[in-house]
Amino acid sequence: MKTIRSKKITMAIFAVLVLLVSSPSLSAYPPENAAVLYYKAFMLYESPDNIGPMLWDYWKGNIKSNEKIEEFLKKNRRIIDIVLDATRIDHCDWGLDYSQGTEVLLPPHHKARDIFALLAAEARMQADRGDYRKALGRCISIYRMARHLNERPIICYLVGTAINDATHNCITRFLSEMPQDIDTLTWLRDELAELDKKPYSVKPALRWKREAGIISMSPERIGGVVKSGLDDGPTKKKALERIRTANQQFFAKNIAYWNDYMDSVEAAFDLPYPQAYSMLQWLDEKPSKEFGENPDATLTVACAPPWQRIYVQHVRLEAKSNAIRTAVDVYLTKAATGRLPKSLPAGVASDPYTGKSFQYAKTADGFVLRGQAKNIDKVTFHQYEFKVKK
Amino acid sequence: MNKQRNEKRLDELISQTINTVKPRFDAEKWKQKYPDEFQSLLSRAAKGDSVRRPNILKVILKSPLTKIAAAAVIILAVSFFSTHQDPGEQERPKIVEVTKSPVEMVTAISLERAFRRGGIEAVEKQCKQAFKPIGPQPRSLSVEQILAEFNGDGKSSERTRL
Repeated sequence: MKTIRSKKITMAIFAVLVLLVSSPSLSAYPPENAAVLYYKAFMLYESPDNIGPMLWDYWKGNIKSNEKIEEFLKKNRRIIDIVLDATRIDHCDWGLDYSQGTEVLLPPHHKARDIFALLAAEARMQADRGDYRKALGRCISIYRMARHLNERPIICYLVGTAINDATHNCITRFLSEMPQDIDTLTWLRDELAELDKKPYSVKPALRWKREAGIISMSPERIGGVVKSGLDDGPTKKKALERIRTANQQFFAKNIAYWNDYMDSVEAAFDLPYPQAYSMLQWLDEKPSKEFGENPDATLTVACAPPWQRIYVQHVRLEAKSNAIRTAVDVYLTKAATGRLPKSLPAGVASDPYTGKSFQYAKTADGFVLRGQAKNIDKVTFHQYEFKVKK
Repeated sequence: MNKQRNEKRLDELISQTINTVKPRFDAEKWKQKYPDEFQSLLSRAAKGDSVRRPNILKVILKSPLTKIAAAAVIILAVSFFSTHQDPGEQERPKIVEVTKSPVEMVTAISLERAFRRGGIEAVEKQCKQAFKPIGPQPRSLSVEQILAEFNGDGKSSERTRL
């Protein structure tokens, strides 16, 4: 009798243990780290060499949907779902080994661009079906993905920037062709405001670049950095020669030079556009000009990326982001009053090129937001056109 | 001493076994043995050199290999001149990365260099090149395949090939 009872107790304990052990595994999906799902999607997504250009043409609205595209989207439904699940997760850690300095190995972010085209095409298909809420929802998911991609290395920032920029174009098209539905537009405005709580920023990339440079400016690492970072030629040859005969003082002085240089770079990114533009051009040229006479500039030449180009991308993206947010307010006014406003509503986002509001003008089929970029030697006007569905 | 003697003895033995005397050509004997061939040679000599010997230049020019080589030289020359006639084209930086190992190609510094050369497209291209050697993923892996691997029979396993 006792044996039977103890057997029952043992069985009960065993059952409880099984439940306890299995319960975390039941709730293991989605994981806490979005990168796990991105890696999975990148691995499983077959690069669409045969249909790739067609996907890009489709989301851009250059071509209409066809059987091939529909079949492709259907086939990759699970990839889309995996990525959408990933975008809903806050935490994203790509597991990069930052102790490697500038030689850190980056994730296969080229796949992110393919995945973007897949999601954008799916969004386009939702729009074609008249479900603009879902289509815009996909765009918000892509914005989240771009934020996840923006790890500390500059390249990750640039990949995310390219995806953000393309998504802006996607949203502009949807806004231009959809009916002005106040609920959808309010929802979109709130979603964009939510995203802005964690703005897409170049700052982490700038901070990390400084750290990475310092890590790489050591006798063990610098040879590889110079070999990978510089094109073959007299500069590389001379840099390698200097490294071969370098002592501790050489590295200390080079790190000091790099730190001063990065102070200037970070400060330049905060300046108004015209000053930042010319300052970064000067900073791009400075190490190369000083390289011949000043050995302290040697390692900065190898580590510095083209800052002005990065800055131009950064401001262009910010201008487009602000234009879209301003446009949503204009569409909301149209949805509420039935007509476009005479001027821009108060408190809208400004044009980062000038720091002032965009110039607003009605056009035959919608409205336009204009800005102007003043560089050292030229003034470029840029404008964002939005159509209004009648 | 012994060694020299042994070598001499060895030479003698070889000479006895095989005929090591150099063959000599006796023209008179040959004329008597092959009179028709001799006459034929004489008549060719009378017709002249151009008939007797094939023209080497012509043979070279007629060879298909020579034609291919000539075509290659012309193509190279044309491409060389067309590149050097357009200075703008000449100044354009090469986008193709001098390849290293895939690991070296996906470091931050290496991709920054690609960006400097050709923007985000060059970064994408370099990433694709780096990840290409990884190749296709196994479509599926069955329990039988895994067991076969454990048992040392890797023939049917795709994973073994990867």
